[in-house]
Amino acid sequence: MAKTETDEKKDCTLFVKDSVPCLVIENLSKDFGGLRAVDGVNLTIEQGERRVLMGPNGAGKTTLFNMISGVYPATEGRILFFQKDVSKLPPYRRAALGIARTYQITNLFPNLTVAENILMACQALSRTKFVMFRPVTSYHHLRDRCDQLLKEFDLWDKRNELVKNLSHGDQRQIEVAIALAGKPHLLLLDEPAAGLSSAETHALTLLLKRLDPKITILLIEHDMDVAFEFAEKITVLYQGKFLAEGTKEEIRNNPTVQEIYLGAE
Amino acid sequence: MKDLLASKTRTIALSLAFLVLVLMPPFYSSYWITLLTQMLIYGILAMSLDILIGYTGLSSFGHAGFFGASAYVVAILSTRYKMGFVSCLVGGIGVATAISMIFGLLVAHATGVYFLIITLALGMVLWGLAFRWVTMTGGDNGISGIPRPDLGLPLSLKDPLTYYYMILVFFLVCLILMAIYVRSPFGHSLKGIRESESRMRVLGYHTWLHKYLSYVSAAAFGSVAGVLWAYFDGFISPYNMDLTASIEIILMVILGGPGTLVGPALGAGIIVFLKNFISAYTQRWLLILGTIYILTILYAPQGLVNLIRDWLKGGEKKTELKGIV
Repeated sequence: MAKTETDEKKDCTLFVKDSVPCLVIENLSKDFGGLRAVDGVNLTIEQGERRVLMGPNGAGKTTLFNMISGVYPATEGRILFFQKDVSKLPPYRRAALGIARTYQITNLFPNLTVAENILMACQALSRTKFVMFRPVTSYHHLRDRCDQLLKEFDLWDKRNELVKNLSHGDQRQIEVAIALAGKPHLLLLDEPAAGLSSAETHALTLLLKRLDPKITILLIEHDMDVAFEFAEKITVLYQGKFLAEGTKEEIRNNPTVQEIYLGAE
Repeated sequence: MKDLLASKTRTIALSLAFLVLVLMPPFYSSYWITLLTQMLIYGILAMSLDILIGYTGLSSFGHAGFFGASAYVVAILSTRYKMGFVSCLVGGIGVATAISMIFGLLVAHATGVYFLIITLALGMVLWGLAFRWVTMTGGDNGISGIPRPDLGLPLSLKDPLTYYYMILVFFLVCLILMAIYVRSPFGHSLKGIRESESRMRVLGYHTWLHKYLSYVSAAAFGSVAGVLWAYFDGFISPYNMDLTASIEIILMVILGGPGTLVGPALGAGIIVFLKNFISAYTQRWLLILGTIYILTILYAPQGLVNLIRDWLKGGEKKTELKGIV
């Protein structure tokens, strides 16, 4: 019985109404021992929105990502993904619902080839991942998706290289590619341009702008140029708390933001 | 050119293996046939552990426990209840796999050193059971007099050469099954867990379940070796499943090359040979074992098969494996 990809994703996909926000975060907090890393953050992100999350080191941005993707359980508060409360779900269930993320510090499969890395992501949400006695290369729908991503991200020529032998720039590309493999509804990008040269950063920004407009993207970014070019709306966190939200002009002209983040004059 | 060299080496290695394992045995002395049989049985066991060590990146220190458990089941069923080969085979694999399903619940959440310690403890539980449950297992004396199976064939399996060929068939079937298994989508997911479990989780893998199934399948394949060993040796005692036995299997995997399947089988051959050869001269087998371990870690941490592979490639790309030693 031939299964199409849509069949396999059917039970994982939520019923999506246009009017419903993609992600609602209600009063979310996270304690690490005595340290409150995230403190009562509220956030609403509409479908298809591009939002940048800014804040100095220790603002709780990555912790927030870890809570949305399910790596850490929240101490308090709720996370609603298309109105479904996902706060108590483990990471793999959230991934199945359509939440994908990248890492600030590259987190790939270094001793596997580029193609194998992408394939790992392609089969992640398909039921065939439990098949034990048939070669993985015999699944054509997985290979087609894999080949498509390799070409889209300009990695085709390097597909048989081990990931650990690639340049940092290529590895950052693969970070994004494997997050997109499962066709997510919400993409969390944790400083995708970290450590890239300005040319590479520019290429990455172009790539991000080309992404399907239906995908909702939340981006952590320190680089002002990337941040301001990418998103209409920016949220600023400071010491775990919500500080400001608005358009680039509003954020640029916000005196508190200038003081703590852009550096006081 | 390098590829050609590699494929040439592969052809040579395969023909050599075919010659030594299939064509030549009728001309060997019975000592060598017995030794070769042992090598193949331990080869199956080492390959099964490679699923955990080389592919999933989890070092189990209790793998001999499953080998022993299935061997004891065969011993008890065949001596006390006079059961036939098929019942013993199914019983041995079934019981050992069932035990691993229970143990798996305890070990599958652990990684690294914690996994190592928990599996060590559970392996010792099985050893303790064999040692102390005297009415069932005969305790320290073990169980002897396990008869060679009668398959109703005109050939008698009491003949070392016939039994050898039966083991060879089992070995090849297990090798082929495991080779497909590690290349399957599931096997691919195990490599992902070895490389980065955190990434696997956010990609959508329920990594606990994958590690659990990996542990159970390693035990299931390992228990095949236990069944074959019980019939081969006709005797089973707690010493076949103690900590030293588990460490020997790990050494076979690491010496041969984790994550290659064929490597651990080769490692098993070398260790079994050395053990037999050296014990003819000295009682200090463990000392030799330790020396081999240290030399492997120092000079061939990636294992012999990977060492040869790198050497053929021209040595510029070293195979590295993490989380094993």
